[in-house]
Amino acid sequence: MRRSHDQSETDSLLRASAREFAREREDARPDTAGNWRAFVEAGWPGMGLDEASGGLGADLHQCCLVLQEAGRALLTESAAADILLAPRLAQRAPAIAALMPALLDGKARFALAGAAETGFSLSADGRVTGRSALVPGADRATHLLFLAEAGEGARFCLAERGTGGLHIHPAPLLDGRTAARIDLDAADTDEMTVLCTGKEACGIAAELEALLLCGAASEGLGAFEAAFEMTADYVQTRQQFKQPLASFQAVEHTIADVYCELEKFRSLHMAMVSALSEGGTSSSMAVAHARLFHASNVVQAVGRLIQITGGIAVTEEYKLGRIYRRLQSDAALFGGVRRPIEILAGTPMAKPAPLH
Amino acid sequence: MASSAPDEHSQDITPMDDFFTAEERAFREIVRAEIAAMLPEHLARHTRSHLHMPREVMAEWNRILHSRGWSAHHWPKEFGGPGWTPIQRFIFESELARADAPPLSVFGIYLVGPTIFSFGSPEQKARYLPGILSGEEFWCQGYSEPDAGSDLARLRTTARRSGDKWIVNGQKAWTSEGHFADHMILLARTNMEVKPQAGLSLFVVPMDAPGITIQPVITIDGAHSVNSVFLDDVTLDASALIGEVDQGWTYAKFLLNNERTNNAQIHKSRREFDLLRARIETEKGEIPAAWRERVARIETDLAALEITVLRVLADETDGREPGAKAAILKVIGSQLQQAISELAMEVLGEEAVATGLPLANDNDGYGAYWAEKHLFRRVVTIYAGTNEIQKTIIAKTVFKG
Repeated sequence: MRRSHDQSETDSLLRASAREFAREREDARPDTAGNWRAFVEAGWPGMGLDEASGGLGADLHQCCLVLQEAGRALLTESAAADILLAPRLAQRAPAIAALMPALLDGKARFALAGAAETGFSLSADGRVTGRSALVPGADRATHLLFLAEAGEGARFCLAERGTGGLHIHPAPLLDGRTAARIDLDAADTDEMTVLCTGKEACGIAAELEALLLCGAASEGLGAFEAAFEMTADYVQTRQQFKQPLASFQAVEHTIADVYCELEKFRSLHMAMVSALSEGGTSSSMAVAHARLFHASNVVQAVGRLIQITGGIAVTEEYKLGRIYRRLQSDAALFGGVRRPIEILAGTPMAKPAPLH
Repeated sequence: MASSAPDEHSQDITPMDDFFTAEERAFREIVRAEIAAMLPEHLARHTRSHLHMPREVMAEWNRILHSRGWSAHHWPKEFGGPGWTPIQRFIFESELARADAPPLSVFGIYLVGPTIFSFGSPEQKARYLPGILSGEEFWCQGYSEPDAGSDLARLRTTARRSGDKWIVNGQKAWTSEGHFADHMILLARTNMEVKPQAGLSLFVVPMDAPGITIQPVITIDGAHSVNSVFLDDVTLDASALIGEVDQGWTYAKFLLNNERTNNAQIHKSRREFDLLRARIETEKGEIPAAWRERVARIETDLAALEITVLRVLADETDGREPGAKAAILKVIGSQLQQAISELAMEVLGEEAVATGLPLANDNDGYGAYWAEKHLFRRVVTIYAGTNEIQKTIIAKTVFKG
């Protein structure tokens, strides 16, 4: 359990090395040949796996701080699913554990195509049909995870790329990343691995989805921090009327407002990571808080940073605009803000059941 | 955990829970049970329906807490506090709010007590601390003046030395609880020759001293909680001076930093929002769709404020410097208080403004209570250093790097 960021020395060391690695790769396109190789060599995919399985044994806080650094550098390679899903899956299913060497080698990459509000239905003869929302990084996935049906008849399935009836439709996002929609057209579950069924299937799907929301928020926090720092620097150096912009009260107060939002987001993020680490009763609420904040307050706050930066911020070359596009894209993914609002205010005395 | 009793609401499951250690959670169980056993029902009822606490309500609860040694929960042990950690204090405060315990007067417990045990003489400690601890003596704060609000250092009330006495002349503004306080802690100018901050001193003034005139000021909510206080040739003994002469500003600033988290008012906000939400859900079956997003945002802001306060306390415990956190807590805490009362007014609608009409709930006064709170609450972004002042402090801290 952490009560502040980077509480242990390992945290700080990990952050420093992740920051350096990310900075070097800041403008690498995800489809550049060999790009993922560098991540693999840096040990990113197996980061959260225990050392016995060939991983680095990082806890969730540490995995998330690495993702924060990825977000700070706006890395377009989506690593969240690789880093966060494998450790949880490996504990749960032997079929997945067998894939770990391939994951560590960068040859197997997972994507979660559908979880709680799945659009995948299961026919009586075991065929799955439906279409997913956009999934970041799913264009490069070798293994797709999805929940077919919900409730008692649910099945949590693993389908390899190339399974009959499985189609992956890549879609470039506003911010340079690529996502994909997954279509299943009467795909046969006999050709897949059913990892678990019923309540357990719904539970693990929800848990993995929470982890991905958490990973997105970690990246969002890194991007927000970068935006804030570059703007605070810029308004102190840019002069108008013979004085730095930072000396104007309107600019000071915007900086203060945005800083308050940044600290709030740091708090919500820390609480979410703690809750997911502890597997406590509060994790679905903590995820909803962070998600709602990430998909609305943070985007608005960066919009205000663009305002006080002025014209330069609306040029393609300036990073602040790219950060804004990243946050705007994230806000639209994962179903936007509808579900967190429903979780936090839709049910009287909202007390979502714990994930376990 | 499905229960509809308001006091079983989300305070039992909050993102904070994962922040607490097993020992801290056990501590919470203990104080929860003890508070439940100690708090008389009529005091809880009063707290749920009144904004301004009369002296006798605060005094009664102060006395009860004192009998358990819990009236000054953030004081060090040597001065009569329980010697809790910052996190334990947070838990205790949240349990008080959850039980609808009346707030204690902030001046004695939060402001004057720590000033006296930090800077006062042994005689002052012996004379004043017991009355603060027991709740038998009440205090008010003589800092602001008509021409010295945000710019407090410009205050003009003077204390002139005359033999072994001090002669005080001036006027104080916004004196909360001045009409029933026994003593005032007064900031007055003792040196005209130095820059404004450097020539101020702190004094203890008995409120029944000759030359003191108290004039009620009725606030926007129609209630009397603040006053103007005039001081005409008020004579004080040498023993009224706290600490060194001309050091008052240093003492006052030290204390503002000492109580970093109090202005966040997180526990009060959490509790009143839980009760408001429970009431809406009981009446309408659920949060009407039109307000769902607002409710979700307030829940999120409450969580953010709670965790931020805890982070500040954890920093304090581990000896890390929290930077501009005091100002941040003041800004986000006060904005949240207003967001809650604005939502309450909107949701309660006619019930909150037509207080004389028979409406829903047999007009139990809940609407009037929120109207009063909402109106008076305009002050929370103004007092204790306006939010504009706080934002300037935050920005300067950011720019300093």
